[in-house]
Amino acid sequence: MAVDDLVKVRNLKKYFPVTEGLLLMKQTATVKAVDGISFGIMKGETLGLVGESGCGKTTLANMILLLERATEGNIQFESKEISGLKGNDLREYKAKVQAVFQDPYSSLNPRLRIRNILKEPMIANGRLTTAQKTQRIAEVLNLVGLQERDAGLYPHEFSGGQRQRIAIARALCSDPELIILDEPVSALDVSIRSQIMNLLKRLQRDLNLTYLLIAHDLGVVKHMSDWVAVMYLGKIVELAKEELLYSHPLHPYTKALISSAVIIRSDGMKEKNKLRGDIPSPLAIPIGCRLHTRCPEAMNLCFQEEPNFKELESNHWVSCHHY
Amino acid sequence: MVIHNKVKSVSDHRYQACQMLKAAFRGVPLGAALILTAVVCLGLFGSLLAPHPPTAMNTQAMLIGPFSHSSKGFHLLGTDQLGRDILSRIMAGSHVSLIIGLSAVFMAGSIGTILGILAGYFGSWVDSLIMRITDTMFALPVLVLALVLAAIIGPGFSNMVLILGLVGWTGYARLIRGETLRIKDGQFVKYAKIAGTRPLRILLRHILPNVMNSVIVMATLQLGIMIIAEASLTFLGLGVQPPTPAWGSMVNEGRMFLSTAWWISAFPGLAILLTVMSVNILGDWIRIKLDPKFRQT
Amino acid sequence: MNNHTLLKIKNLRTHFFTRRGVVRAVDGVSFSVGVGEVLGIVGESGSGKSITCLSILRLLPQPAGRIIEGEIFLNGEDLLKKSEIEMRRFRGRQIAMIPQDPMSSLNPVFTIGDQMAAPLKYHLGLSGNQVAEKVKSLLTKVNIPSPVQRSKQYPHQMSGGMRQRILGGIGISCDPKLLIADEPTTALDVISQDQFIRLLKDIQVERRLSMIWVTHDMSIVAKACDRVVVMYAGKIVEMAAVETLFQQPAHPYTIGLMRSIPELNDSEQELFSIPGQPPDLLHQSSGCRFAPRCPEVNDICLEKYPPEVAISERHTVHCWQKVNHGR
Repeated sequence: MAVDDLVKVRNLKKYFPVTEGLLLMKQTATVKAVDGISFGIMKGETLGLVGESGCGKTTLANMILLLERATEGNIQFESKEISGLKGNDLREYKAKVQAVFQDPYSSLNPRLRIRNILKEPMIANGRLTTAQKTQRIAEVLNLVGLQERDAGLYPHEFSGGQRQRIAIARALCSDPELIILDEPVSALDVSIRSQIMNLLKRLQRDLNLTYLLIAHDLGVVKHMSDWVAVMYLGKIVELAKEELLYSHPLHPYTKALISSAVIIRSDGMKEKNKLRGDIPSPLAIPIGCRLHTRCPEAMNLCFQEEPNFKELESNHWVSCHHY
Repeated sequence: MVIHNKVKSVSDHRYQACQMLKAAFRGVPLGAALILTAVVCLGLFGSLLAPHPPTAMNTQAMLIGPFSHSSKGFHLLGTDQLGRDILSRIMAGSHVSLIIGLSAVFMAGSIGTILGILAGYFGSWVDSLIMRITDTMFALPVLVLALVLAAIIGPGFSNMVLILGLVGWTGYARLIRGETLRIKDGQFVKYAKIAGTRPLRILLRHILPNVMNSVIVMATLQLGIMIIAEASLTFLGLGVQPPTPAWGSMVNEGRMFLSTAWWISAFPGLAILLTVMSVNILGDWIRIKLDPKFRQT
Repeated sequence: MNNHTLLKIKNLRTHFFTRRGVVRAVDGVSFSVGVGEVLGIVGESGSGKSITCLSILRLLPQPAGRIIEGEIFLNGEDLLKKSEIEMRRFRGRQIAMIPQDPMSSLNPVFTIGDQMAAPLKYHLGLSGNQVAEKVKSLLTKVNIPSPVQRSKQYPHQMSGGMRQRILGGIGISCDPKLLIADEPTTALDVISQDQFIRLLKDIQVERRLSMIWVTHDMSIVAKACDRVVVMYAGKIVEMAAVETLFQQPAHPYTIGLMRSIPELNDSEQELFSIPGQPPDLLHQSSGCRFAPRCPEVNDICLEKYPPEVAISERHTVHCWQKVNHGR
């Protein structure tokens, strides 16, 4: 969390009201999708974000993409608060922050040619001439390993892996700084995944891109990331340099995640995942430490008090009463 | 040599145009296209082609069956209760039915699609407002609604199109709202928003082309309903005034004679059926034509 | 195959007759599953793994899908010769299936208890208290806390992991001989996935159940299966015991797959990746289907489909490279 972070998120919260009734909407409960998150990403680095479905990863991404408004806290991009952006600044921000999502099938409008799909971000943001746009389209198609003539085709003429390349090309069109990758390979075939991961890493190197990678596959996160944050029920429970997190995880939840993902080529199952039961509903987040209902190491204190997020060693933060 | 070349280039040009035309009409359902062309021709020239004057009565030859003769000549499809030639009336009536049917469907489809997309995309109070209006209109009998409207704007040919359009859009609005909700959650819309695309552009580029399938299907189905609805309005004295022939009203008039002279209702009914079926099949073809997935490259 | 074979499939061909041509989804597949054995079928989209399973259940999408050749024996009875009514008695009772999507596979308007009771009533003829007892014991079996209350709840009140365990409970409710699990964990997160695999493994061992796990995920194979069949474009390319496959994969496709998965203990910069795109099932050559993407391709690979080569007693592969090496 250095000063020169490209993106800085501080104490970010997003609460969704749950309402009942037809005419007089009455708020009956609150879903705390994101409940106080802080982190930063340095330029050219990748932060991997892991956690179970419903832990708030996607809501976090939506807030950075300005698709949803934060309830509390702030997001800074290049040291500027993004909620206050207007006019030209806003347009510039939207050009600099792009995204690639999971499903390569629903992410491309089936009625548009690839050329027009790629033009979209340029029309919205830039002041490029038609010739410049055409040139840029050829450039980005080249960057992602597709041909210039592919621009005239429709999405259905491509396989899943190629569509994901097109989605990446679209993200590159407006010359972005930060790309949010929300499960970018989980919908792809195994033999295609590594192609896309290699492509993303190469692009990062060549274009000095910054990634926020959301994924549930720990192998993918490890391979792609410099930093890894583990989320549980709207909070980051552990944040560390990639090597530190995988070599000696501290939080019981991180330990469970890592032991659940067995290492294939070693024989048999190693340490058993010791977490019990199911994830609680985000409507009823446990008091105290959020994990205490499932944690094998829960103590009395865990039932009463929420642990602080503290730096245990350099580049390794955790929130657990055991440390 | 030069002349030869020129001739060749002209024929080349013609050949290319021919190929383009062929490509445009590839896979067109021939039967349906033929029937529809015939109906349109009838609509344009029907009254000129008719073997008998469509409104001429003949008290000597009332309710005679198909394939019979009268003093006026041969009646292929028989005559009605006033001795008018059914075939001539069908030919002349295609004009009214087609224009009213098609324009009413076009109008209803446009209103319904626009409102449906707006409701689905913007949600909140826009959605509530449009959908409550739709619900209210669903709750009221269509004819009563049409009557009220007619009382306000008066009867007549173009007013009838307006009335049918104003009462017929609700189905589209409901359907298209649902479709829009589905597409709106699609990721390509999310991408467009991330890129900062304006809402209007999202509606026109991303939502509208993707709901057109449903609009076309619904429109082709509604055409028949509109032709019949025209009859109901005519029956209530709001539509095209007798003795001008129209298919819907012909079916309606023949109802009373169904047991004794089935042909009065049956043949215009058949004409409606054939037209609607052709439009349906042709609509299906257009739908596939518009979908890049089925377009041949 | 140990002493007793439960399921034997011989030269199964399932084709789809579509407007654009014949899709040879399954094209000459033979394998068997022993009693108490867990067979993994691994493959990517379009490999024919799911269609093979739907063929066993005779639940192919109609009217396009047809089994044009082959035999499927369950305990010596040819399933392909059975009438639809006979098959209905078979499904759920002899062969059960755990579907892929826990969210849409349970009907939202019925309680969990009702949905679990249906097969018990239909196949086992249980009624009243017996049903309630059995539902309770099944829910306990699949680790659902407070089963009596839970059986009165609706699917939306459960988490994804719970729903998938309930579907597992429905799968085993009538004591089937063969349980087919078609990618049952893809919709689950890592921890629920792990819990589910362990649960099914325990039940399988306890009841000496035969199972087929369909998956694209090698780590699931490693956890759950005894033997693996690797499929590519409608054909089996390699078949081996799990340990053998992980230690000495023989087919270039299998080797490529193994190398392209990022692991928790590696630190390579660049991942290995199989070049090219997934196969187009509409246009298949007579040669090896993996040839267009294979790093070791030869002339003969493009012309003729390689025969089965036995590398060791229970390890077979379809690859011309191995044919030459073997001789």
